[in-house]
Amino acid sequence: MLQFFNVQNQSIKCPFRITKISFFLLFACIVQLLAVGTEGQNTVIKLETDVLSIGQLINQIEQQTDYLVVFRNQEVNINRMVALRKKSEKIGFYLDEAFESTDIVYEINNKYILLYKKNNEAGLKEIAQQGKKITGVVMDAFGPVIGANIMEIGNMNGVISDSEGRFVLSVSPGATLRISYIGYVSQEIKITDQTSYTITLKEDTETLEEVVVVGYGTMKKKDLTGAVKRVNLENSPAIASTNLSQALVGSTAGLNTAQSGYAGDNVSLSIRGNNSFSASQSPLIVLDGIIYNGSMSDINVNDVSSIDILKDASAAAVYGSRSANGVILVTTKKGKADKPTVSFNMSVGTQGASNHKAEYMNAEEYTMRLVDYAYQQNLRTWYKTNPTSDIGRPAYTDISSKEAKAYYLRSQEEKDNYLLGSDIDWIDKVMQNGWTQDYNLGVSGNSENVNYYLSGAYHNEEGLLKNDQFTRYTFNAKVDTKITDWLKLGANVNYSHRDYSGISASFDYATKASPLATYDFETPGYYRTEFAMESAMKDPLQYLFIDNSDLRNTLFLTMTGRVDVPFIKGLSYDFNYSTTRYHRDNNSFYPSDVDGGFINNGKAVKVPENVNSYLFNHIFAYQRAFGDHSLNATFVYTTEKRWGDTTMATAESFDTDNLSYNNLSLGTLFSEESSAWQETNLGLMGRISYNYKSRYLLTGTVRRDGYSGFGINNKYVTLPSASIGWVISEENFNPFKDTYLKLRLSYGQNGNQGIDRYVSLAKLGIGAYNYDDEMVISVYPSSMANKDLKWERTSSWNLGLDFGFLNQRLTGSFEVYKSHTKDVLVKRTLPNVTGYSNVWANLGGIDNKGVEVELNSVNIQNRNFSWLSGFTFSLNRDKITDLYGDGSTQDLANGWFVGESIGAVYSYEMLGIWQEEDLFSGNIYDGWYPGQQKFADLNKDGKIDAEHDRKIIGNTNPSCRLSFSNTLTWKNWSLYFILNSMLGGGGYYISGNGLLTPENSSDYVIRLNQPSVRDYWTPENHSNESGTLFRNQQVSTNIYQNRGFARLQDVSLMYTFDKKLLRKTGVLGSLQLFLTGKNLYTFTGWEGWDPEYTSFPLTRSLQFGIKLTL
Amino acid sequence: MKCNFISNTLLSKCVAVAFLLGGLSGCNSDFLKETPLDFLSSENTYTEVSGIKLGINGLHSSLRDDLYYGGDAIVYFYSTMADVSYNGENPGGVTYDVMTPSNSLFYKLWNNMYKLISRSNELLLYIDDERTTGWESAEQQAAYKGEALFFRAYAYRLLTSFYGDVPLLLEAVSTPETEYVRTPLEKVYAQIENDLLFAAQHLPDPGKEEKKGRVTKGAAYHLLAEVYLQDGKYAEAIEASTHVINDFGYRLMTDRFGSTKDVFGTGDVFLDLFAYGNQNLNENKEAIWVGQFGANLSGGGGQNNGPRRHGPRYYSLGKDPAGYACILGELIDGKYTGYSDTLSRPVSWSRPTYHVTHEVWASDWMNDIRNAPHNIKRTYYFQNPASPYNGKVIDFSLWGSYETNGRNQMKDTCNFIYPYWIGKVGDPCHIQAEPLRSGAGYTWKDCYYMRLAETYLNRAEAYIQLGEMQKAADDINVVRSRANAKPVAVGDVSIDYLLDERIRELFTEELRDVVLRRTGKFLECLRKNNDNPQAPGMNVKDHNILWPIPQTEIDATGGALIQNPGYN
Repeated sequence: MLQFFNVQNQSIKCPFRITKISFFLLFACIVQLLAVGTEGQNTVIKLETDVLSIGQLINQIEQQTDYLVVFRNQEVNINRMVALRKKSEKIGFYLDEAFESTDIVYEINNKYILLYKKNNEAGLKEIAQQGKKITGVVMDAFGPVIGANIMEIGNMNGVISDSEGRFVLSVSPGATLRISYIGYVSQEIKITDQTSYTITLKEDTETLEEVVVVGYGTMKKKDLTGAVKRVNLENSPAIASTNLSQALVGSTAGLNTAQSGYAGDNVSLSIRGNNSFSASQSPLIVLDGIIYNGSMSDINVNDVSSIDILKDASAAAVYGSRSANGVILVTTKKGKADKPTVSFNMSVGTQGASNHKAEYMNAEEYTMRLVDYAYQQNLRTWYKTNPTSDIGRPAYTDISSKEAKAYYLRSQEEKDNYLLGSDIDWIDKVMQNGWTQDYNLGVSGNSENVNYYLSGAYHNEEGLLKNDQFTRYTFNAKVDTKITDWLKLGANVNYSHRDYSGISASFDYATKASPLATYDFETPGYYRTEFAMESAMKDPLQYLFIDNSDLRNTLFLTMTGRVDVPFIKGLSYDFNYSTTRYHRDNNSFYPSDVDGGFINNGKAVKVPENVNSYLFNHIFAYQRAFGDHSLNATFVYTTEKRWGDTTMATAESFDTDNLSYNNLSLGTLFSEESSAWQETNLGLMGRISYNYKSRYLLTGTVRRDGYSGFGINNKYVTLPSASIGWVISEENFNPFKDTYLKLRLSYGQNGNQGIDRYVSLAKLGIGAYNYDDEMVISVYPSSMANKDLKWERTSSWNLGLDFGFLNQRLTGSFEVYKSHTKDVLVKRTLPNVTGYSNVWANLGGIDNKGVEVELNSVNIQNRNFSWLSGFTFSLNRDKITDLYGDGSTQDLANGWFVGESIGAVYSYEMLGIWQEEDLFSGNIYDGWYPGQQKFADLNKDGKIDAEHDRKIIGNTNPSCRLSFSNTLTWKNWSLYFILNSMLGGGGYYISGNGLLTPENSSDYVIRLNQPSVRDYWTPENHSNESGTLFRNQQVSTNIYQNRGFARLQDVSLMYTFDKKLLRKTGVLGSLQLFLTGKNLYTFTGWEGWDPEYTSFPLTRSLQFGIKLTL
Repeated sequence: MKCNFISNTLLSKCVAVAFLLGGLSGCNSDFLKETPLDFLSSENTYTEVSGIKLGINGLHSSLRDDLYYGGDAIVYFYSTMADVSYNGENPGGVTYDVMTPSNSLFYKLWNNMYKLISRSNELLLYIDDERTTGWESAEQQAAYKGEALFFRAYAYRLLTSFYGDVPLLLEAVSTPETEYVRTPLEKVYAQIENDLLFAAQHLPDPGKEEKKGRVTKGAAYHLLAEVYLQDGKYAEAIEASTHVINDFGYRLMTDRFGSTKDVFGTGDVFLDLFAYGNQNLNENKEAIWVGQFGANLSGGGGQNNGPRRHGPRYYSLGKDPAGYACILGELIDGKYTGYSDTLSRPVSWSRPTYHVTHEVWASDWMNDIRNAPHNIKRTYYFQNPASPYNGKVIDFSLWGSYETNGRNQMKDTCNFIYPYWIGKVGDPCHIQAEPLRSGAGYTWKDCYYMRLAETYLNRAEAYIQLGEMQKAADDINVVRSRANAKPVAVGDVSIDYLLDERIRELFTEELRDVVLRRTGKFLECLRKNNDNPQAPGMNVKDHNILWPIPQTEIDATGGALIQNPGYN
């Protein structure tokens, strides 16, 4: 439908009203087509309905012919309905009928049709003649954009795209059009000889007009002075993320993520570098303005509209004490349209292990390791005689027969199975390809006084291990009502039910289990307790037979009220109350022949747990504009309390398993434990933002916080911050009209309370003893008090540059930051001489500095094809500046050194493996033997010892993180993919890899299966990279390896159905099909399991989904 | 809290409104007051006698677990680093080759003894505090002080034996400190001796202790004697031991007692001494101090893994020469478990040396009841009704020559079958848990920390050091005569003889390393008697006579603690 200046941009409306009618009226509404000669009047058009508005008629004429219709909208009422007699007629016929008995006349030229009040055609014709008619279509990544504004720059000529994204506009030659739509980056195109244009709009992630959540309020992105990144989920390509945290992987420079491979697990998140030695690094999660204490996995991804990440101190300062590790603000969806919108999404798929698999010894290797172990012990005895050549080396064991090898196996069971030739790959047996399914149904709407959003969702997934499963139901109801002009009330109920029931197969035991165990995979219900009479080698599959129910319910309830104080303009008061009720019931019954129930003939355990919290926010805001000055002041008073309790009731020794864990009194041995806790927070915050002409921006914040968990002498902290912004491109001297440039500078302090409650208090541990079989309780001091324990405080500078070039086709930001943390919360290692191994203390300082770059570009944009890219880069370096304030420069116990990173690895430098030649030639150090790790002897004394031969050999932190995402759109198809990487190099991102060499413990190397990622050293296999079996080294370390990787993180292929086609169904508003994959391929030099998680593979998933709206 | 950080502006008015609406005062520090809900602290517990009792229980509990529980249980594991045993499953595994400052296998003694010291010190602080309430009498208060001092002394005694000079801490540490240095040995000994003298004076007489298992005067004198032996004060050692022997009504048990089941068909008083349930009996006059274990007491019963450690891994024997499983084990739910209830589930981590199994018995093999088959099991039988070998003695010659039978002699004799101190360590027929694994190698039998037989041998040691051989022989013969062994002639008495007698009487009980060190025989005995087939003499080097201080500890003190010689 043709509309006239239904302009959404408020700033345009104003000047429009005051300008004189004369000239620009003409642009009011226009459309046309090429001339069709003089018989234009006779051109026939067809109408679908014979009752329509003047506007619709004009629209039809313009679409079906080449005419441009020109008129003044003050004269022609386009909303007037007319009833026409025929559905197919000549234009002239229709025009006659439509304007019958009005004072409007029409005139058909060969290019245009003029409509005007009699005798008022002056000027109209000139405009029409000058006009050039162009046609176009506005698209986004998913299809046509309905209702986009197409404006000619320099005047008020404009139009709005129709339901297929199309528009027709008459423009002056050489004009520039601006195409804009809420939620999208505005674009400008220069009109050339071409008459047809396709414009692909890019989503609003970088839109300057966009309103960003900043904590206790919102702000236009263009007015921001802090480093805030918005991740828009509502308009993003379909990625079937099972968890909100998953959706953030690779999205933002400076947001560090670490994935796990277990069903229902969160991705662990941290922002920027390490601020703390031992305190929590997790960012604060805020859900719809309320600090959220629940698990990220309670939040339904499909309910989330956007996520704002506060990265620098000034942005995060509003959350003062809780913000040292950054803040993640989650905003859920709202109703948008008058009419209820029903949306339905679903996806089904499968998931398995990512491409890296570690190998463990098979039956032959498993057997040979024992032969070799025994031989190597003899070899060692010979090495001790200091031979100078291989003369006299013990002959290798006679293994000419299978029986000879079998003898070395430690149990008859394994001997028998070896001779039978059996070979079990236990990793294979405990893992599975699981199914995932996800369904969401939502209804939302927005009328004048009520905005609502309701949703229900079901999610189910099977993890990589057998019986690892996760089911979640979430319900969300959100209502905002406007009671009067000055009062708004809202409520939000979020309920989640998570079911983690079932104990999964043991991955750990699968890596230890003998490939030669006797097992019956055919008989259902078959399992064993342990293999080969080896108590450390449990049956990894027996855990499937534990009866377990693990249900977690979370109710998150929020009430909000807002008063716009009537007598002081601009003053408002917001009240929030929220409460969380979490209850978990974890019940298990271990049958008597399953590990856990074995010791006392069956065990039942019931563990109910409650966690509760409430929070009050009082927010006073004052917002006024005085001419070019605009002021925004916010004051917040907030209190929060969290409390919980756990009980563990255990009954053992059951004569019957019939009632499982439901009736503990059937047991005969009992034990109980319980715990309870509470903690409180209190905060006061004031913030003032000021801007002049949206060009000079200033924000100042002070927050005072108290936390119960700190020492009695230091409960409170006051944290100030300030930031300024300068929009350079708004200055008159800016020569580049199509650029946007904003410079931001901030300084602020944040606190960290990332320690558990009660750690500042001395505690007595509780145990038990007995005198003559009479049990008594015993206590012992278990932790030292620290009455002075206080906040960790980080002061940081951030310099940011936001830019947009080439008419916002290339946008991005650049951040440089530097921070210093003092009074760092440290779990300080104490000598055991004190009776304690550590105590929480505030010690020392840490510096962090880093660079973050984000780029977004529109690479190609054609009628049928577009290509958009995003790129993020972040680099962080941390350095310890002070340890204990006493001038000490190192803490060897923790491996902390002044001037070095917290992630520094302080160890022996491994040069390779000692070889027999080293022994024969006498080059080997005293007490060292071939096959052992060869370490650098730093002080050249011929010995390797802790005092003299350790040094910093690398860093566990990544050198930098990079991600690169692309969206390719071709007609109705759209392809999105993101490559994510964490890079090492130069000693960065190293980790000890336990899989590269057999266990050094001489005990476990013979008792348990060993990794076979690398062949172990033997006199024949002169490996320089992997140690021997019988190592027994004086000093040994893991072999360190670079974990750097690049990963094809997400791929999503989508097909969006034509709206025109869907309309014919009369039901569907939109329909999209998608196929997405996660963690599809990883490129890395790391050997063994996935480099990101190292001890377990990640989940690789493939899902097919449907998104539709009614 | 003062809320004056924002001056009198509009905002501060807002503060006022906020407080009003919040119904909570932001200035009320009670809101942030931290109240422990589920744990105690010494400030609110040790201020009364009832709380101090809980703390004393804590000392008993932690010492018991340190000595008898875990792979590094001090009594058992440490004896494998001496002359009496080695790891039979993997003889080359843990030897002195791997005794380095950074090997955490050797950390337990240091770390846990200092914990014991810290816990004692914390209690002493409150016992001495006049504000502490609830004492029945001044004697009770002194007795409790004596008990805390006793534990502290026990810990320092072990530390000095293994490490030499050690930091001497006599007060509870309440603020983070890291710079600790080693205190000269004399000073530490002086402290221990003083503490034990106090304890010996104020602890209750045996029989008067509040509960069985608590410490008495007898235990304090016994420990004092051992400290004097270590300190070279032999006359004082004799005096202290004599107190134990003469003053409290202790005597060696000579007649059968208690409720022993003679599962092997025979028995004697030595078997009774170690039978389940007999250690705490009032009629047992030989027990001086008994470590308390209790089956089926959740959390309080402890776990003694003696059978697991000392017994042979018979269930890995494999097949008999006829191709049948050597031992089927118990029949449970229609299936043979492979384990025998009398032998339990041992893993042979403490295989006695030949010196212990044979040499020390050679002179009096048949008479000495301590070598009776029900006390030391030397003969094992095939148990498989289907096999022609069923009921026959397991003898490896039945399989033929090792040249051709494919078996491994070392495995057979170090790991699968060897003499087992079943009477002392084993716990036949008391399967209290894990029936499918015959108790899994654990026992809840009470253990003697101190037994009068050792007191006699301690005094004999002191007499030998002073050259009073007749008196030494008399003491040794008290022990030998109870065992029905031939008396030793004065001329045969020597430290070496005494050390062998200790093996005969105290193997699996005594802290062998401590005894070898104080007699100056550590290296000699290790090299002479430890016949570890993979590491003769356990590959001991001269500097291993003292253990390395844990590297973590040196690191944590920033290098203030100096390492023992030879370790860097």
